[in-house]
Parts: sequence; C-alpha cells; structure tokens
Amino acid sequence: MGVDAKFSLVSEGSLLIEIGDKIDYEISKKISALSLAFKKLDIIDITVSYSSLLIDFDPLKHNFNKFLSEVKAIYDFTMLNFSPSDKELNIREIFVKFGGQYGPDLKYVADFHNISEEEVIEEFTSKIYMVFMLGFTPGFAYMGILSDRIATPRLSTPRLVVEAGSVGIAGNQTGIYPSRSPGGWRIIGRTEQVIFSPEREDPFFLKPSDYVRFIRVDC
Amino acid sequence: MIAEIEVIESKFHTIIQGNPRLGYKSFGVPESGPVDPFTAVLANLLLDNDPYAPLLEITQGGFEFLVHKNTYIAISGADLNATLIRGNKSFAIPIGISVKLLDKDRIVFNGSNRGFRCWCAFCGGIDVVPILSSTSTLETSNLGGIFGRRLLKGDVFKVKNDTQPKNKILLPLLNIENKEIVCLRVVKGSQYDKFSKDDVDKFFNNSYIVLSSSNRIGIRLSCADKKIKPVSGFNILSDPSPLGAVQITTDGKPIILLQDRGTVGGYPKIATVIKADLIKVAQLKPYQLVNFKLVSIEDAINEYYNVLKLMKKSILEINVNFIVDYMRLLREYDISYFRYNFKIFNFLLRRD
Repeated sequence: MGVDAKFSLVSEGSLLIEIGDKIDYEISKKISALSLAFKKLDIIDITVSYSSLLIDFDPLKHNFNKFLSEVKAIYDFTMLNFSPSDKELNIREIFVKFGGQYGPDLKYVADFHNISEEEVIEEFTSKIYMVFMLGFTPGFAYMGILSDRIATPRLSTPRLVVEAGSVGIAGNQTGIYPSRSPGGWRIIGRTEQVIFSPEREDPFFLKPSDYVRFIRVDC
Repeated sequence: MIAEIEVIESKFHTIIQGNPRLGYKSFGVPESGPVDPFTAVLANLLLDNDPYAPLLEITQGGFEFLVHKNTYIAISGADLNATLIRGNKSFAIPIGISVKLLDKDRIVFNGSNRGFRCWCAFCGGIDVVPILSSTSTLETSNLGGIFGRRLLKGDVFKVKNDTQPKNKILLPLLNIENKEIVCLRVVKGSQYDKFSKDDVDKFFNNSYIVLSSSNRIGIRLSCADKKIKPVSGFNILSDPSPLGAVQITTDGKPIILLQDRGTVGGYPKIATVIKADLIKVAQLKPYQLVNFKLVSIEDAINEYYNVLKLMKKSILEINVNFIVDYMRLLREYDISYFRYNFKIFNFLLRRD
C-alpha cells in the first residue's frame, strides 16, 4: 500500500497503528479516514493522533490473529480508496482578542522573531489551520501548521493556570485551551467561543480534520 | 424512603466513579472510572447493583459521612478502618459484606496500614447524572460526579434505592499484596524499541519509589537509589497513551498513566502495565517501592482472564445459618480484614 504501516500490540487490549512520525496534512487525513473505517469493528474505543491510531478492544472477545487480519483488511481497503483531496472543507471561524491581558506571550513571540506584535497577528490570522487531533484535555485541538515566522517553543516552566479560551503556540502548532487548566503553550490571545461544553448536543466545537480561521477582534 | 448522604469530612481524596467514559478518546476524553475496575465492581455486586453503578473511591481515608434515612453499603479494596458510629456506640465495618445503615449513622474512614484505596458502594448506586454517557468524575475538566470534582465537606448526594440486597460475602481472592517491593508486570510499550538495550535493562533492573504527587492521572515514580542514573526520556511526536502506559519523562522519572491521563502525550512509553496488575497499582502508597517485570502479551491476556474468573468466584451468596455463624465470627475475632476473611475462608472450606 501507499504507506508502510506498523501494527503493534502495546497492551493486551490496545493495538497501535503507526503510519508515519511527522505532522503532515496527508497523513492526518488518512488517520481520519481510518478512524472512521475502524468504527465498523467491535471495539471499545479509538484514539487518534498526528500519525497513529490506538484501537482499544476486549482481548477476551477477539482472537488476536483474526482481529489483526480484520484490521489489516480494513486498513488496505481504506488506503486503496483514499484520496487526499478535500471532499468538504469544514471551516470554523474563531474570533480572538490578541495581546495584553488576553495574550500575555504575544510580545515574547514578537521579540523572539524580531518582528512587531502586529506582524505576528497578521501572520497568524493570514492562514487557515487544520485540526490534527484532540487530546491533552477534552476538546483541546492541536492545529497547524504555523509558519516558521511565528513558530515559538513552549514555556520552559508551564503556567499553573491558563484561562479557558486561551489561544497558544507551541512550536509550529497552535491550540485553544477549552477549560481553565495548567499549560505550557505561549498564549497570544483569547476567544469567547466555548470550545467544549458537555451539556451541548454536540459537545466539541472542533473535531479532527476541521479547519480553523482565526479572526481578530478589537480588545 | 431514599437515603441522602452528607459529607462531614473529606481530607484527602474521595471521588465518585462509575462506568468508564468510552467512545470519546479521539476528542481528548479519557475513560476515567475506578483505578481498579475489578475490585470496585465487587462492591456493587455485593449490593446487587449494576456492576458500574456510581460509588465512592476513597483514597487514604480522612473521609466521613452522615446517613439520612436507611440504606445499605458495601466496601471492597483497602482496609481503611471504616467505623460505624451509631449513638454512643461504634462498630468496625468489615470489608466485603453489605451493611445496613440507619438514619443518623455516621461512617468514618480513618485510614490504614493495608492498601490505599477502597470503594464504597451504596444500595442502587449514587444518584448522579451521566455526562458524555458516564457518571465518573474527571476532575481535570470538571466532568461527571458532583460538580465534576472530588467530594468536599458539606456535599450531599442521594442514593438510588433502598432494596435489601441478598446476603453475600466477598472472599479475598483478589487480595492486596503486602510486599516490600511490589512487582508490576508489563508488556512492551509503544516506544520500547526506541530505547537502547542498556536503558531497557536499566529500566527493569531499577526499583522505584512512589512519589506523593501521584494521583488518578498517573503514579509518579523516582529511582529508589539516587546514585543510579535514571533512564532518560526524549520527546516524540505526541501519540496515544494507553491505560497503564509507563512513560519516561525527560528527567528520567517514570509515570504510570491511569484513568484520568491525557489521551495523547509526547513522552516515550517504554512499557504498559498489564490490566490484571491495575489491582496492585490502585493500592500503591507514597514511598512504596515498585519494580517492573516484562511478560508476554499471551501471559497478560491469561492473567486478565484469571482475574475475571476470580472475580466471579469471589462473591458468595450465604444463607441465614451462615450469617449467624458469620456474626459470631465477627464478634470473636479481631476486625482485621485479612485475618477474619481468612477465618471465613477456612470456615467455608470446612463447611464444604
């Protein structure tokens, strides 16, 4: 098949499928397609990340070799029918107040790259970003890929408290903190958009493979 | 008459846990649920509850509640010296049997020398609203339980029903080890192959000490011998973290990832603790020593199967005559979980 996947049991009830080890649009789309396809199987849960998937299954319900061949068959079929073109681009708009009390690290990001805060905001809002995966905490979306002009390493010591809605940068990723939590990303702004609300019929505002456009609003 | 429970004291960590929250891992939501699902289920089965009915997970002790109206409870797991205070009398509450509580009874969990976590189930289960199809509390994002957090002094919750359960006792088949070094069996983790052979050897030859910063997210460990250089971690592209994964942080501290972990993480995972040994993991106290032993996937599956088989055998229905004898035993012997259970066990063997 197109990519060489590695299948390994990482616990008696978890199968890890790796199809790469980098942040890449095409790999991520394949992961999405696979995660949808694997739902056909009798499994407990599925976790997706940048370039791998983890299938949790009941080891007493499945004969492992049979299960693995089912997984591989679905994998092959999905990859055979995979096309990297976007069928429908789901673009979410997120309104952000940048800098000041909302984005305490905006100045650091600007200084780090020897550009102005204005230029950071312009660069950041000039692109749309893909949601590669959700993790760390419920609804936290790992998005990218940020241009090298504004990519900035994490804080060396994470903050104990980051406000809900904070928009952060870590390397060439960006993310939004769904709830008040500790965090080490460089916070450049904040949105009032509720990212995760368990009471809502659709609790997660962002999902893997969604796209996001950040729009600046005045503080 | 449905009972209400009022929390009088909650010094350490007591939290409502129910069914695992499944189907949301790709949205960043871990499964939560009791740290040792096997033993927790037994407390519910003693009361004829749904196996995953919401119950209390009590860590370390320091917990006290007051009962309004009658109910039944059952405790499994660690012996945290639960005591029933009725008027001016107090009784030790044994583990592994349903106990009828009356209006104004107080129950105190003082703490123990044996084990670290116990599960206290109530008749019908605790009445809480499921969030994302689970009643389990996830403190890191305030989901489930009561206000999505651990219980605090003054909290009040309702119990689902007041039906008298069948008479059952719990045999100590899934017993808590009381060893100087707890050996956790593991299988190879997601990045096992990325560690050098030296580091892998070092990992399995070292013993570790449980740090007091451990919680439901993970058991944090540090090399027991400070002079030994720890296996050092490295950064990887964030990938999924299975339950029980042992990740190695950059400063060389292993963390066993538990039910409330982040669903993905950027530290390499050298091993995964087998499901059967979650029973031991749930009872790890600060300063306890642990080491790791590599086993095959086949062994892990067998152990898992054996634990489920033992669970089924653990619960024993008892008849009226037996209860009379049992109560006599309770009066006769010291209320130490192991000792009296051992007596009951011998007693039953003689009967059969």
